[in-house]
Order: sequence, then structure tokens, then C-alpha cells
Amino acid sequence: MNTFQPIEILRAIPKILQAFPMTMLILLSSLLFSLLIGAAFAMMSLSHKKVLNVISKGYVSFMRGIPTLILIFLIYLGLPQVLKRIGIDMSGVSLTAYIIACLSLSVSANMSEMMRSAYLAVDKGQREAALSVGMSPAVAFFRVILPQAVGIAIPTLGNNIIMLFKETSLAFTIGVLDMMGKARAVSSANYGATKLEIYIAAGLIFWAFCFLMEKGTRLAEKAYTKGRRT
Amino acid sequence: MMVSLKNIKKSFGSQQVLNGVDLDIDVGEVVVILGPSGSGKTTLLRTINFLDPGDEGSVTVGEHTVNCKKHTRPEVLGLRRRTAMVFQNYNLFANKTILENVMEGLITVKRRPKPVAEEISRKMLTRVGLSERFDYYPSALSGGQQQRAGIARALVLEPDVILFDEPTSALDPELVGEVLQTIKGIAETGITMIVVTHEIAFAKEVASRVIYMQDGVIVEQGPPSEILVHPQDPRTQRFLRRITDPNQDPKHIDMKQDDPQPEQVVEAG
Amino acid sequence: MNFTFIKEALPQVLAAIPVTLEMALVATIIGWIIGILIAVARRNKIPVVSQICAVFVSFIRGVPMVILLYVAYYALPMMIYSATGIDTTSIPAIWYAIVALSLDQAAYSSEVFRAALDSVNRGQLEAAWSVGMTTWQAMRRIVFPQALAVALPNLSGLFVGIIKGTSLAYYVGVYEITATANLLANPGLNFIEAYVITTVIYELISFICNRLFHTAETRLNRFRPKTVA
Repeated sequence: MNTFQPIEILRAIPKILQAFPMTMLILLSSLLFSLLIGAAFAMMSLSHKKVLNVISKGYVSFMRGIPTLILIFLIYLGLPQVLKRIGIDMSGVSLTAYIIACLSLSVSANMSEMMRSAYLAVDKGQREAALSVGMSPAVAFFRVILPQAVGIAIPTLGNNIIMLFKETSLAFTIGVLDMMGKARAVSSANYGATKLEIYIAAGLIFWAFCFLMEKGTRLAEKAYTKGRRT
Repeated sequence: MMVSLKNIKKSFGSQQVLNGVDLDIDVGEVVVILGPSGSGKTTLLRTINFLDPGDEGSVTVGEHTVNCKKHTRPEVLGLRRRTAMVFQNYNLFANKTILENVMEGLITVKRRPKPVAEEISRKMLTRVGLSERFDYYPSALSGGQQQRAGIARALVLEPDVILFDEPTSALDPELVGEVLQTIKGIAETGITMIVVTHEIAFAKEVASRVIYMQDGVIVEQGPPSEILVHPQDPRTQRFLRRITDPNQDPKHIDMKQDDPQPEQVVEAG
Repeated sequence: MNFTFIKEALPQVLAAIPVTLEMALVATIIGWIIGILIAVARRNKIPVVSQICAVFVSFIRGVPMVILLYVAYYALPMMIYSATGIDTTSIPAIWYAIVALSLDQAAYSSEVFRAALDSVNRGQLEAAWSVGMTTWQAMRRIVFPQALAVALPNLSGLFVGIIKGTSLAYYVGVYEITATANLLANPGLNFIEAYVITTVIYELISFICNRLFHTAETRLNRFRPKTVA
């Protein structure tokens, strides 16, 4: 049994942080795509076409029911097999792209729900007032409704980003060297002698960034809603 | 003596709300406490059952005396089991039906068997005119009905004294009458009551004694025919003039506005 | 699709469902009890305890589940050994996973319970006191039932979340649904079949859980005024 050496935690932190750019790349790309996919499904759920409502609802509940890990396995291991049979070769796709795709899909359901409820939370009278002064529906949306909906969505968006950030740690499961992957690599480099210290270091790094993001969310909320709501 | 308050003092932060109140109430008295907002009348009521424990002084209900400064949990419980309260916002248990609301104290506090509690509660609700509403949740009732259920909940415990905290202040004007009528009916049964209210007409008709409070002290007290008709203290006179002014909302009379008292620098609100 | 594989693998993956459910249920029960205690401690601002709880909640919420699992898996044996000298090799991995999942649930549910308790009007507690109920009676019979009705939708989300979280226990060697599917898929590279089975199972479990919680919600919310959803 190894003895616990707190100093090893400090030694591991800079090594793990070397992979920080990779984690950020995954985080930001997934964030962008999840917002786009989420927006598409939010629009579908708000549309007057019943079919689109059902598709959107089905997508959201499917994504909410499947563990991200299974989604990763399904897409990384399963999808190429299926596509190969119809003649599409996926071997050129990078591991990072797979992870970004999976996390985007996984988080997009939450993003869709966030946008939908933020839109619905804006008072109906706002749209009517905008139309009554002669704005077109599109102008009314971008100038009146969207700014208010964004203000409403900020806390949830912050939570979703933090959740996404934590989920980037699943990148290691298919061999991407994100911070978690790096932690595992560092651990096996010394034959697991200080694995506990290394994982604690990884945990502390994640915690620190989550803490900052939470503070950032609060600042953003304050700055954005300044003067709008009293 | 049914209720006896000795030198009750209470402050919230730096604000002194009660400045040493002494009050003795006999069995069967109906005491109405009047006063402007911020006079400490509601706080005084809440020190009696220790929802807001006083900082100093003592509270006696029946034979049970509790020291405000040092009290134990069983002592406070004993006090609460001899009193009952009717709240301004009714505070009916939201997760229980009207019948269950009335039964709750009988079951948990008086340890009555459920069928017995139910029978007593049904009778009590019928008495306050809610025989058609036993199985309704409070959220489905009007304010007046909720308050009558609140009165039934207090009454069913057969307390030594019932404390009414502005029982009609939250009601729509057209519902005030039915609740005051109910309270009047109870007053006639001889139970001891302390009522904080703004309803002067009610005080005139029902009270055996009227107390006027301002700035945390009892300014003046006596039978309604004296206090309400020939008040001696200028503060009482001014209050009554304003409360009978039809342009004045009786719930928001703030005497400090035109009654500056240099020794008391208190922020409004 | 390799249907022979599906026919062979399905019963084995199904047989792993109880492991997943056991982890989720035990961790939920432990986690929610701790969560309630944390919520009460923080609401009552108990000195020191309240601060420790705040740091604990922030930490657990900031650390990915995989890392929690690894830390529990490597740290607990060390701690148990140095505290009691008991050899920990005989403790099944599932218990380490349950510890990690419980801590996760405790942190998240404490926030849910805190908000739910805050949502119950203080007048409810005062009314219970005024009829002579003890604080415990008031909490148990009046405040908690109302808070639970408020908390239920979020608790439902947490429970589905933990079911999904158990899939990570695979990485500390617990043979639940995911691990079993992986094990079966690897030799013949039957990935798509194995993960489709797994997906369907998780979706069904989530669906059933959502239904159950929804039913409970309707029952617990009987007292609320009917609002247009």
C-alpha cells in the first residue's frame, strides 16, 4: 500500500495543466455546436407544426436518457461500423472530432430546453407591443424578445457550460489527451505510484475552473440585467 | 388572571419595538389592541406565544410562567399549548385539507384518536359555516373562508386564550364582515381573546377593553366607551381622528410622520 | 446487425440491470439523507458546519464524476487501512462507486432541498408552532411534505442523472450494464449491437423513472391550486 504524499498533488498540477488547451478546444467547440443544435431543436419545439414538436421532444428526451459514455461508445465505436457497410470510411476523423460531436449532441438537449423556456418566459405583451409600434416579427424577435430571453437564460447557460466542462473529462475514454487523459498518462508514467495524488490534483483543477465559471456567470448576469430588472 | 405580561422588552437589531409592556388580562376578557403601524402591537401578540420571544420580562398564561430571557423548549411548548393564534395571512397548512387543518393539532398535540378528532373538527367547521368545504384544500377557498377555517383550527384546541393578529387585514373588503361576525360569535362564548385590529367599529361592539399602543408602550387603556369616545391622551386622539378619516387607509397609519420624536431616530419601514 | 450476438448478449446485459439499479438506489438514499442534513445545516447557519458544507457542495459540484470515482476508489482503501488495519481487497468495487455517487447526490440534492425548504412560507412553521406542535412535528408533517412537492421535479432529474452516472463505475471495475456490454462486444467487435442494446435499456429505465416521479408529483401536488402548465 502506498503512502499518501500531498506534495505529489502540487507536482501533478502543472503536468495536467499542459492539456488545458485541449480541454478548452473541446469545451468551446462543443459549446458552439451545442448552442447551434440546441437552437434548431428549440425552434422546432416552438413551431406550430406538430411533427416538429414531436421530433424535438423525442430528441431531447432521448439525449436526456442516454449516458454520455454510451453515446460516445455508440458514435465512436458503433457509427463507423454502420457507415462502413454503406461505403463511408470514417478512419480519417480525429478522436477530438468524435468527442466534440458527442458532447455537442449530449449538451444540445439541455441547451434546447434552456432556450425554449427562456423564450416562453418573456412576457407575451412584449412581442405584441413591438408589433404594435410597427416592427416586423423578425425585428421584434432580435430587438425585443431575444435580449430579454438571454438575460433570463444566463444562469442556466452558466450551469450548462459547467456541466459541459466536467463532461470534457470523458474525452479520455477514447484516448484523447484532455486534462483527464493527461492525468491518466502521468499516472501510468510512474506505474500508478501516485495515482491518488494525481487524481486529486485533477479534481482540484476542475473545481478551480468551475468556481471561476460560477463567479463569471454571476458577474455576467449582473452586468447583463443591470438596469433592466429592478 | 388568565394572561399576565411583565415588563416585556423587545428589539429587532437597533430598533426598540417593545419598551417594557405590562398587561394583565382576566378570564373571559376580549382585549382589542389598536395602534399605528410600527407601534409594536403585533410583536406584543407574538411575544405571548414566543413566535418572537421577548428580550426581557415574563409571560404568564394560566398558571404557566415563562421567563423571556431564559426559557427552555418545553416551557415554550407549554405556553403554545395554552394559546392559539389566528394569523393575518391565515397560514393554513397548505398540504392539508380544511378538515385536516383543524384535526392536526388535536392529533399531534392533544393525542386524540383520529375518529374523535375528526368528529370534533367537523362540528367546529360547521360552527364557522364551512360544513360544505371539509375536503377542500386551502388554495381552493376564498380568503374569508380560509380565515374562518383558521379560527376553527385555533378554537378546536380549547386554548386558554386566542390571539388574533390582524385577522381581517389581508381580506378583500367584502369578506371582512363574515370573519368579524365569526369572531364576534366566539367572543360571546366567554373565551379570553386578544385581538390586534384596525376595525374600530368591531372594537366598539365586541371589546371589553381597548388598549392603545404607540412606540412600544401602552399609551392608554380602558373600556371602549371611554377610549374610543373620550380618549385622554393626545396621541390616542390624533390616531382616532386619522383612522376615522375616510381618505386614510387604516392599515397604513404611520404616526411618526407628523409626530417627530427626537430621541427615537428610527428608519421608516 | 448481428442478431445471433444480440440474442446471446441481451440476457447477460439485462442481468446486469440490478447492479446498476442497486448502485443508483443505495447512493440516492444515502445521498438524499445527507443532502437534507446539509440543507438544514446551511439554512440554520450552524457555525463551522455550515461553512464546511458549503465547501463540500462547491467541491463535489466542481469535480467530474470520473475523478470522484477514481479518488474514492484509490483513497478509501488507503484510509480504511490506515484507520483500522483492515485488508480492503475483499471489499467489492461497487461500494467505492456507491460512495462517490452518494457524495455527488448529497451535494446536488442539498441545493434542491435548500431551495425547496426556502420556498415554504415561514407562516406554515409558525402556524404549526402556534397550535403547540414541536419543531420536529412541524417539519415532518407540514414543512417537509410541502418542500418535497416543490423538490420532486428536480429530484427526478437527479435520479435519472445518477442512473446515467453509474455507467462510469465501469472505470473502477463494477460490472454494471455498460461494463457488461463492453465485455461482450469486444471479442467479436459487435459494438453497434452492444451499444444499441445498452441505449435502449438506459432509455427505458429513464422513461420508467420519469413516469414514476411524475405520478408521485401529481399525488404530492394535490394541494396546489391548479395552474395551466
